Amino acid sequence: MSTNDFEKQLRQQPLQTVPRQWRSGILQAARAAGARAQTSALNPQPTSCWREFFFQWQWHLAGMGAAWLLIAVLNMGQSSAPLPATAKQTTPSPTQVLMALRENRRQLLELIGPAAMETAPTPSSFVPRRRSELASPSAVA
Amino acid sequence: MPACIDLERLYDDHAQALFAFLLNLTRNEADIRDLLQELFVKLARHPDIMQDVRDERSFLLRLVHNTAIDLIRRRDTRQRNYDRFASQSAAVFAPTNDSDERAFRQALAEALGGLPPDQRAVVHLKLWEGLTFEAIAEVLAIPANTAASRYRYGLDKLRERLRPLYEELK
Repeated sequence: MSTNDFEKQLRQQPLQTVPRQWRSGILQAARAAGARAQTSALNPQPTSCWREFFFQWQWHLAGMGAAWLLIAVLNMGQSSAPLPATAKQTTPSPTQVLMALRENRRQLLELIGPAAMETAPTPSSFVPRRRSELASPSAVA
Repeated sequence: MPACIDLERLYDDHAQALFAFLLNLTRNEADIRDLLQELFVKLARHPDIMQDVRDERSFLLRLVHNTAIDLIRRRDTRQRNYDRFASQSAAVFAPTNDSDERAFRQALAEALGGLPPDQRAVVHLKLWEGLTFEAIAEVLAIPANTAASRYRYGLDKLRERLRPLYEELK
């Protein structure tokens, strides 16, 4: 069995033919696709650009959305939780400040003792006189 | 200005060759229908890809070969494909009333199915498309020497399997 004869024998075997009914369907689909491609090339629609953009980045956008959602949920959870003690401290009222000062003064006096209290100079009882009484004789003259 | 393309002429000139090549590769008519439609849709959408093409047949064979290989890789593993090809002796060849011829064609289809896809593609292009090894190398994107060696290996295997039937036919 020579190679050439064998090859010739194989070549002579007729191949199966393409089904005739395929032609119209395939060409119709191709023409429709071509027409759509031409239309979209002539009238580029902005919505299709956006759709393409979102489709390209869909997983990135979904990931970022999920991250923001998580941050929002955590933020809401924190705001509803009880505040720590340091945050609850408020500024004292003036009455409380006054009372605290008085208490401080009382304690200080107790520490100094009664002797110090006795030796402490008492303020002179100065009674201001009227201006008319203070007028000098020269001025009167 | 978009390039103009005569789809009807391209189909009438090349669909038969593309169909036979794909049938030998995939052995599945539904797949071939999809692949052919995919090819012509691509041509309609991008008619400029046929510009500057010297040999239409070789170019189209290359396109369908690439898509067929992608399809085969997607669907099955290599070994499962071999099993499937061996069991599916789909009608690669035209039917005949002669019983000896029918048996030979049946055996040839099975023997081709037993070849690895790369050898089967080379054997098909050489025997039934009449391409040179240089042209086959361009279609399959392989060196010409590789195409020649694949053809020899493939043909040897076919000869071994078909020897008894071939002697009878002679």
